[in-house]
Amino acid sequence: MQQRRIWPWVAALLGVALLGGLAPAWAAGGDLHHAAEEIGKELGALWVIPFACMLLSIAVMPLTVPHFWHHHYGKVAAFWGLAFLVPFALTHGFDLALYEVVHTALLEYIPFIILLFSLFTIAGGVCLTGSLVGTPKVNAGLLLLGTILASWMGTTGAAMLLIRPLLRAIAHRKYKVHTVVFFIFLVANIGGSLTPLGDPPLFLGFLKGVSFFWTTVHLFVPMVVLAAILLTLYLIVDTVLFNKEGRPTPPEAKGKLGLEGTHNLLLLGGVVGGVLMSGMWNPGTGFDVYHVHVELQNVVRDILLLILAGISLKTTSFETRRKNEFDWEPIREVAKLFAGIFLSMIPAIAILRAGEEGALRSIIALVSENGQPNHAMYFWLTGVLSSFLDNAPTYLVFFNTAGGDAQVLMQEVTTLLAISAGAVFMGANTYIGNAPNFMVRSIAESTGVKMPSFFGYMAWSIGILVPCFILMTVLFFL
Amino acid sequence: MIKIERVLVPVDGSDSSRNAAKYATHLLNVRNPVLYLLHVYEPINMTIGGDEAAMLRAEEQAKSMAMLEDYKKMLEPCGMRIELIAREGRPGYDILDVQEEYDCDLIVIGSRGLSALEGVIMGSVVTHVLQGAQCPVLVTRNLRHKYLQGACGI
Repeated sequence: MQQRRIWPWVAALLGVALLGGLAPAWAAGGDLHHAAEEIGKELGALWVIPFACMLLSIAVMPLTVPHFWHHHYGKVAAFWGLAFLVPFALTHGFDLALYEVVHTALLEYIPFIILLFSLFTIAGGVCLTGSLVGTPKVNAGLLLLGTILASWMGTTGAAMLLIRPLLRAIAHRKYKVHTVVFFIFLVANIGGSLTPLGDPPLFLGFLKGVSFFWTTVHLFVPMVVLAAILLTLYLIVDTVLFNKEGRPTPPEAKGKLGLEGTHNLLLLGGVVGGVLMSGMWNPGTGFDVYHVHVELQNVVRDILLLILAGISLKTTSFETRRKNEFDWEPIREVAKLFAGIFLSMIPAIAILRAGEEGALRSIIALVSENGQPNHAMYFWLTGVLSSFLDNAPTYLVFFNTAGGDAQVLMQEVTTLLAISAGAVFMGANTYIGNAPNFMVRSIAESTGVKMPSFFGYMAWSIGILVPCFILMTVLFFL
Repeated sequence: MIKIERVLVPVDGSDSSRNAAKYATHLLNVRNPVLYLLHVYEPINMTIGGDEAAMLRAEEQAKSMAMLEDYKKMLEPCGMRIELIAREGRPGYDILDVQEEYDCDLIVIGSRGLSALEGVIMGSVVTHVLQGAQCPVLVTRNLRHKYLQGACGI
C-alpha cells in the first residue's frame, strides 16, 4: 500500500540545519538584530500583501477551487512565504532576510509546532470508549468537561478526545447539528482561554513573555460568564429538541464506558510542567544561531515536549490510536500552512511594532483614542479578524499593535485581556477561525451529521455568539 | 481444516498489489469463495468541508472504484465472487476495519517496502496491519513468476 514519502521533509530539515551551520560564515558583521528592529519603519504597506493573501487563500480557496487546494495547499503556503522573502532579500539584502527567517523559525514557528505536535500526539493517545446516552444533561456534561479540559490539553486535544464519544452519544438523536455547533463554540474555542496550552494565540503570547497563569487569572471571569451563558442556552435548546423528538432512547447499549491510554494524562501533565518550567526557570544562558539568541530553557522545553510525545507514541497501544483514528495528516496540514503564515507575517509584525512610525499607523489609530488604547476596539478588531483569519497570527499582530511589550501589557491588563479574549473567543465565529473547528466539522460530517455550510454556520455564530460578545464588551471592555 | 472463504486484498495500483491479488486467488479453498479488493484513498484536506468536500470525496471514490474494476477484470478468469470496497482514510486502520466488518479469514497484502529510515519514523502499513490483525496476514513481495502462474489462468 502507498505511504507518503518523508524524504522531502528530511531534505528540508537537513537544508535548515546546513543553513544554520553555514550562516555564521556568511554573516558580514553589522548589527542585524538592530536592523531587524528598525526595518518596520522603512517597509511600506504593500509588504503586507503576501500575508493577507496567505490568510485569504486559507479562507477562500477551499470554497472556490477545492480541487486545486486539496492537492496544492502546501505549495500555496510556500508561494506566499516566498512572495515576501525573495523581494525582501533582493531589496534589503540576503543577510537580513536570513536573519528574519532564522529568528521566526527558531523563536516562534518551531516551538509553536512542537507544542501543537506534542499536545496532538499525547491527547490522541487517550480514548473514551463505550457509549453515553445523549440526553440534554449528558451532552451538556460532555460540553462542560471539554470546556474545562481545553485549557489543559489544548482545544485540539480536548476536541479530538470528546467529539467521537459525543457523536456516538447523539447517534440516535434526530437533531444533532446544534450539539456539534455548541461543541465548536465551547470546546474548540472558548474553553481554551485559560492557559497558553489552551489555544495557539495564547502560546504565542507566552513565547513573547506573557506569564503562564496571567490568562488563568484574568480571563477566568469572562470565560466562566460566557461558558455559563452558552451551556445554559444549549441545555434549553437541547431539552426542547429532545422533547420534540419524543425523548428517544438508543437501540442498545454499546459497551461499558471506559478510558484507554490514561497514562497519556500524566504525559499531558509533563507538557504543562515543561511549558511552566520554560517560563519560570531562567539560567541566563543559551546559544546564538546566526545572531539569533536561543535561550536554554526554551530548548530544554522543546526537547522535553518531543520526548513526551515520543513516550506517548511508544507506550500507547495501536488499538487505542486506531479507535481514535489518530493520523498525522491534521498536524502535517497545520505545519505546512503555518510555515507560510509565519514567513509572510514577518513584515506585518515589523511594521506594527513600529507603531506610529510604521506604514500601518491607520490600524494603530483605530485602536487608540488620544493615545490611549480603546479596549472595545481591540476586542472586536482582534475578534473579527480572528474569525476569518487564523486567530494565532491575528493575536500576534494586535499584541504588537499594542506595543509588543509583555511586561507593560500584563500590568495594564485590559488591553491584553481584550486581545486574548477577542482572539480565543471569536475564533468560534467561523469554521476557519481555529484549526479544531474544521477538524470537528470534518469528523462530524464523516459520521453522517449534515453540518451547516460556511455561511450557515455563521448564522449560528452571529445569532448566538455575537450578542454574547456585545455583553462581554459591556461587562469587561468599556 | 480451516476453510479460507473470504480473503481481503488491499490494493493501491502497484505491481506488488496486483501480484498479491493474483496470488490470493490460489488460496481460496472452498466452493464459493469471496475475494474482497480494498482501496483506501487519502482523506480530503480538512480545510475543505461541506459540498466541496462531498464533491471531492465522490470523485476520489469514483477513481478508486475505477482502479478496483481493473483488478476485477484481471481476476475475472477465476470466476470467483469479487467484492470491491473503496474507503477514505488511513490504510493501516481501514484494512483492519474492513477485515472485521466482513469477517475475512485472511489478509493478503503486497509490500513495496520502505527504506530503513522511513520505516523507523512512520512504520509501514504492513507493520500496522500485522500489529492489529485478528486473522492471519500473508505479506508478499517480489513474487517469482512460478507463484503467479496458474492463478486461474491469468
